[in-house]
Amino acid sequence: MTSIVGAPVLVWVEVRGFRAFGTEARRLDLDAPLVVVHAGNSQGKSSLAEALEFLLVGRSSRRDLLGGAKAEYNDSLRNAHLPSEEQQVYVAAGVRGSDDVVHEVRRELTCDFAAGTDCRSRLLVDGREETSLAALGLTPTDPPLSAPVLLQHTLRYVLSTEPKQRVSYFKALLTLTDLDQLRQRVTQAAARFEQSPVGPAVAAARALLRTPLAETGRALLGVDGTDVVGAATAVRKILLEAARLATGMTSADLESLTDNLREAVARHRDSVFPLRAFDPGAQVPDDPAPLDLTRYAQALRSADRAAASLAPMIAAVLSVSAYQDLAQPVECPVCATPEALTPARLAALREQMRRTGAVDEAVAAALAQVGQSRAIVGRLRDAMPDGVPASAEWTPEQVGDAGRQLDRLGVPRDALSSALRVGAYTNATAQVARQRCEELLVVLADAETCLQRRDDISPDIQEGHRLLVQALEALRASRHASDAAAVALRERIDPVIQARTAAAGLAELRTALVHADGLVAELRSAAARARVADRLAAAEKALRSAAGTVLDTRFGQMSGAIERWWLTIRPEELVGFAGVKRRAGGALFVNLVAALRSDPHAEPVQRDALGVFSDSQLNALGLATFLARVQLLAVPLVVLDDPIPGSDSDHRLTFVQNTLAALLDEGQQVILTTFDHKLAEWAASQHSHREHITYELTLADPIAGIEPTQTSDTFNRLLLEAEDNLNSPSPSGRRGACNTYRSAAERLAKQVIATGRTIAGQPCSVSDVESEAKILGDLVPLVRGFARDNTEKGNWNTFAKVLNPGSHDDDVPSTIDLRQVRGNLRKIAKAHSAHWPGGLVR
Amino acid sequence: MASILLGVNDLLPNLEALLDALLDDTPAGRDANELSRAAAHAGSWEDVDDALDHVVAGWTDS
Repeated sequence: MTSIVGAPVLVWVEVRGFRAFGTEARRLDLDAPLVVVHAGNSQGKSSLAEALEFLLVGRSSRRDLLGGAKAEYNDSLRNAHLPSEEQQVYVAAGVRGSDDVVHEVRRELTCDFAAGTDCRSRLLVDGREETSLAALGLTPTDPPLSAPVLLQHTLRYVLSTEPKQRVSYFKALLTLTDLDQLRQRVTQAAARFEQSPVGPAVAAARALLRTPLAETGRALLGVDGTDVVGAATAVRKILLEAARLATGMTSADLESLTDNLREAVARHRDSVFPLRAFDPGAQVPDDPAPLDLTRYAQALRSADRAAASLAPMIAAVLSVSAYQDLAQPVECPVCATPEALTPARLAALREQMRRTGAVDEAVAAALAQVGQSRAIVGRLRDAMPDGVPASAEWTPEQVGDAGRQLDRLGVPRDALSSALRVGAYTNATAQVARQRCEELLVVLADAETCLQRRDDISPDIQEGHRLLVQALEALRASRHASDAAAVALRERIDPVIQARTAAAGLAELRTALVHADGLVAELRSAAARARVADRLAAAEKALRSAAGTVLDTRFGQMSGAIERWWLTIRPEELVGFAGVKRRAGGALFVNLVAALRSDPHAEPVQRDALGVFSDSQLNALGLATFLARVQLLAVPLVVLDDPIPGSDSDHRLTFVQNTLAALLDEGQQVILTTFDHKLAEWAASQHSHREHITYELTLADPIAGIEPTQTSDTFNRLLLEAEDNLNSPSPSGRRGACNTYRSAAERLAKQVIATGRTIAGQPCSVSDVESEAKILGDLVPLVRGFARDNTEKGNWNTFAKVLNPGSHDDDVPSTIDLRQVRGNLRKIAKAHSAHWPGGLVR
Repeated sequence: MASILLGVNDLLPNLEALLDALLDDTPAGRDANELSRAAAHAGSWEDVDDALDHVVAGWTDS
């Protein structure tokens, strides 16, 4: 076939389970520049066109463009009559690519339209999964018209939609949506830039704007940061003056002013309500580690306690140098007994000292441990008041004052009562913990004395530690409750205090003072940011203007193309198409302009096409617009589903002779479906000099689905003709069907013979066979030689016998017989079409 | 029949036409040009965002 050089061509398509296609996979040969498909209403034309749309882009524009709620299209792609276990829904096709190879493409429906979800599919090209058919030259274009398939809802969508959506449609037609998206991204970048946080100094100056010191805030924000030193001086002057006016404080030093202001703010807050009295204070310290005096106890058990207790005295005796080398007994230095201290006794004392040395070491370690514990417990005792809110020790008068303050602030007293109650309990638990500390300190002091005397340690020390830990746990629990109550109170009162103190602006002024050093740098940065924001706004405007220019250029091209196609459908009319224009040069609305003439040579008057065009003219405009897009995008394939409505039959001839001819002349592969048998006939006859294929679609069985019959094939056409009389109750009616089936059998026999001989190396046409044998009886002996099996041979013999009596009144085959013949003829045709390379000779 | 539109499968198929329309030598035109060119090599709209933010950061620092 002739086509756009290198452009892809649809060679065949096979559909199963998609919309009106049912359980039977139906294949249509499409390998021609023009395929004309005729079908009555509701016989499957649009299902075929939508199947091709689904094949090309994996979706259906029906849901996007036809209107109504999305949910109304749920489960609309899969044939509703398919048994529930039947999951195989697909559209497959052969696509001849620029490499002249027929690639097998298969699109399987994996998920139908459902609540909130689009349909999904799986695309295979030569068995490999792909995301689009772009590699084969069938590139999807911008939605909503991603496929070059004109359906009734796409034909009228552009005309019936709102003007604002129409501009989107045209931009999509022109594939210009990318420029809109780029502009949106620039706008979003500007928004991101402007939303990035400002520095703390500028934030503090802005906070002043909401206070009585707003003038100070404005003055700070208005400081010119160009001269850094001068700006810093100006900031300092503004802040000092503000502090003087707000508090009466005068200072030349910003730092001391900051401290003074902090105290002033705190006092101001306290004057509203003494919330600081509920501050929780320091955390409760960790538990002191328990004392481990096991080593001391063990050492004491293994030594002579009496000797151990005398060890310091014996050590003193042994340290006397005169006794180091004693040879004779001498007087005992402790009890003054004459000659009581003998060399042997000295040796015995030295041995005793060696054994009690371990006790001494254990004592030293234990003393260190006890000393450390006393220090920790002492600090713990001293820290006890720190963990209790000051309000816990309020006098009844202070509590009364606080309650009245709350009344004045309009805050209920319940939160205060709760905080005071829990605070008092915390105070009580802190007192207990403090008492436990005191008790443990006494026990620890006793333990030190015992250690020095090498006495046993009292078990009171462990008990004291246990009681202290218990008291600390109770304190922590009460602190937790106290803190929560204080937070609740703060949440109730803080906003009120903030409002009162903000009314003075002191806290905001202090924050501004704290960040004063960074203000100049931040102001310079803010000025730079403002300049960048202005640049972004101006750049976005320039982009919008440039995109408008591009749009105008494209509209100009589009207008020319639409007018050209309009003239093929509506030549020599006084009402014409004059272009696509942006309304008032904006990007929001598009007008379709009509040119109205009083005579062919008169100057046209321009009007909005939608207002002046008739329904028929609007259809023509929709078709012309669609074809213009196909032309501008150089789409190699176009599917037209009922392009000329029934009410517009006057223009079917201009469509066939002008529009269709122009498409075919440009090398476009055209698949035309129509309910109009005249349009189908005229399209085929007008372009009979070109390769073309015609089909008839019928939908007799909704489960099996649409049945296509190729009427450009003589055999198939004869089968279709026979259908008219197949069910006739009269012999004369069935005789007609019988004769037609005989003709079909003769045609098929000639094709099989011609094909078999050609493949065997003896080129042969149907006409060649016809010159040799014309009637079925003569053809059967010839065709049997090419039969695929004995059953087929038997069938041919039977055809000759069953179909011949069709000419005689007395023995016309029954409808059941004829159906049997029809079925066998189809089987033989199908088997041979699949068997011979390239199919049967036509 | 040759296409008078650019390829339609790229992220910004009309960028070249846009740049042609942005030839005016004004500061705004130059900025728009710089932003558009920055987006030219992006493979996704997230890449475009990054490229635009990069240009804006450059303007802020300059």
